[in-house]
Amino acid sequence: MKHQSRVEVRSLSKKFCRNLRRSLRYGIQDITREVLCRTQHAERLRSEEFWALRDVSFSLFPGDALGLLGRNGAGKTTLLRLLNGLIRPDTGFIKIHGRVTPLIELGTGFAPVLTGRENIYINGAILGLPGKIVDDYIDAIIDFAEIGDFIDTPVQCYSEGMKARLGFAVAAHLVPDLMLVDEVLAVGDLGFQRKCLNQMAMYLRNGGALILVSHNMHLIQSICQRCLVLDAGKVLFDGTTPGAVAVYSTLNNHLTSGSADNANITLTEANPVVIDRVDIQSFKAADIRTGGAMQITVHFRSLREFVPVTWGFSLWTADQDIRIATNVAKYDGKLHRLSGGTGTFSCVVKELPLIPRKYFLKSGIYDVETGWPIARFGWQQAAACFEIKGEETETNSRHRIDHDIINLNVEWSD
Amino acid sequence: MRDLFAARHLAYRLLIRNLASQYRRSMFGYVWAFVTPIVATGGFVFLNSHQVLQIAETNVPYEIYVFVGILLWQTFMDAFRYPLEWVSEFRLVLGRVNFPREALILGALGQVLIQLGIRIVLLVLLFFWFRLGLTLTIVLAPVVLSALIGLGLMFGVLLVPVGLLYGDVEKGIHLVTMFWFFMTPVIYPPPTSWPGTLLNQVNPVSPLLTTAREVLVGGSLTQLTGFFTVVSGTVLCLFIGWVLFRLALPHVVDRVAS
Repeated sequence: MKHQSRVEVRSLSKKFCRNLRRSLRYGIQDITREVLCRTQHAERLRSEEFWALRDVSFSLFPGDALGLLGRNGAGKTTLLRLLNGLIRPDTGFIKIHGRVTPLIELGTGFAPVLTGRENIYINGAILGLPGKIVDDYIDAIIDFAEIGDFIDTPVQCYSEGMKARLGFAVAAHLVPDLMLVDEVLAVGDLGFQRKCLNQMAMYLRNGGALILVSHNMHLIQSICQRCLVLDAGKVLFDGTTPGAVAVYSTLNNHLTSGSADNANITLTEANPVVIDRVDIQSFKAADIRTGGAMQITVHFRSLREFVPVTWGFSLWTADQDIRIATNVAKYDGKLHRLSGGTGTFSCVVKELPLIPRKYFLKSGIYDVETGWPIARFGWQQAAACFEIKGEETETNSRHRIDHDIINLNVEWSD
Repeated sequence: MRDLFAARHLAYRLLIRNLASQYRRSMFGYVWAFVTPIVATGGFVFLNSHQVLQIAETNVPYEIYVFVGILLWQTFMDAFRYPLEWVSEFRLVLGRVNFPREALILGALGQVLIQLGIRIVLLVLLFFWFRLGLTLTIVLAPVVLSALIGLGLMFGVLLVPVGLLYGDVEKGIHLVTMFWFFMTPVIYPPPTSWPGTLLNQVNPVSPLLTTAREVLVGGSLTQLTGFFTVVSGTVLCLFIGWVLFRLALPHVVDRVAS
């Protein structure tokens, strides 16, 4: 049983129609064809149809957590709905061993005028939990949801977060073989999110399988070992989570294309200084490596003289979610000047503690007195991208699996 | 068949959910279930007593006759309308959770039976009021009522897939039911001369409703041939409708419940 896959998906495709009227007509056609046992022209797109999902394959084993990344409309939710058996694939097949529980828009089945307690029974029944079992779990569910006295209040008085809590609490007490989670934790507060994370981790340890859709990279990284990146219905990347996060970041093109050039921006009185580009190179070595040094050079243009100014940079993870470090020259006692026309600032960062992978760098030139930025690079446009190289050593791969960012220089005592 | 069995528990929960939501939101609650047939009966009795309507003699007091007619008609209508209403109501849930879809039809059936139960209580009171005795045919009541509900359910289930896709169906239902009501011997006895008798042959509700009324209030059963024809047709079409419902729902959910 341990080695039997929970989910097997092969060349899965699904098409949708852009036009509602036409879609309804196709619906009638499809139903008629199916009733008459005629073959469907599954591979062909009819007018105004498009592939919402094309040729997706993967399998999942007990204890696996698969993350789905992709921009809005990439096909993530469609994939979940196919897995849940709500809609049928046009081509390909899905094999699921065991029971599936969806956590998609929790609380959709709630009757607004009924109380939370009554809705627990209804929601449980919809998810396939017999009333007797709900009786046994009801206290645990109410406890988990942390709704307190509100449990006997009509659900229409609940906030979105409270509804989600209640919905998650019911679902958490099912023991499915496959759990589908679609961006449902976003409405819960921090404490509740953490609770849900623990619950999911425990579920995975007990041999459950999970598919998670989220735009929250922390969440994805803390749960999933593996991710699919979807783009316009196709699988763009299938592999480790850090790799997927990096690929996903490049999808958000305008932020991360890596080769931004501001040379065509003209200087005006409202915009007197522009950072054209930022170069990042290794310093006295072939590559930028953990423990090595790198040189940062900021190329700027200024309309007139600015004295005194200071400049600095910040390092970001590949998803541009975490700011790793910020350094400004002023705080190290260095002040600079802009003398009109083009110029460069540069610095060397020594003994880089960063784990081998991709990072981003944003930079700015600031007024010393007010601290306000005169020019910024990497916020409105793509930040500068650089990669720390490193061998596939055990330490490095360990760091990667654990999603670490830095490697501390530690001296262990005997 | 296994799905149908598995859906029982869910159907029960959903039924309670719907009834509780409906009545908790209204001030008079279950009173509404009594009021509608009484008001309708009162209206027709008034019209009849003032000879506005030309209605042939009936073998029991007209009040009883029309009340039983309306009771049966409403039961048929409930069975006809509820499946689509239920599936529409749970449209969003259909798009999120994969629960046995039959539960919705079973739940709708449950609601039909509950409404029927309430009306029967009223009918019994009315029988006492008019000091009417029960005839032996009353033992057939469950059979004829099931036939009537089955027919309504059949039309209802057949309509669900198209009705979910196109809003026209729900709008059209109101129009059709009004016309249908007058084309069915609910408030008048079944016509005995041509072309009126055509109604008995073309309208499938007619033989069922007439037979059901004859069973309830006593009298000879005049339309047994029609009754059995319609019942066998209903059984067949109900099965077809059910298969169609199962086949069509994923396609429909695909298009309307996202």
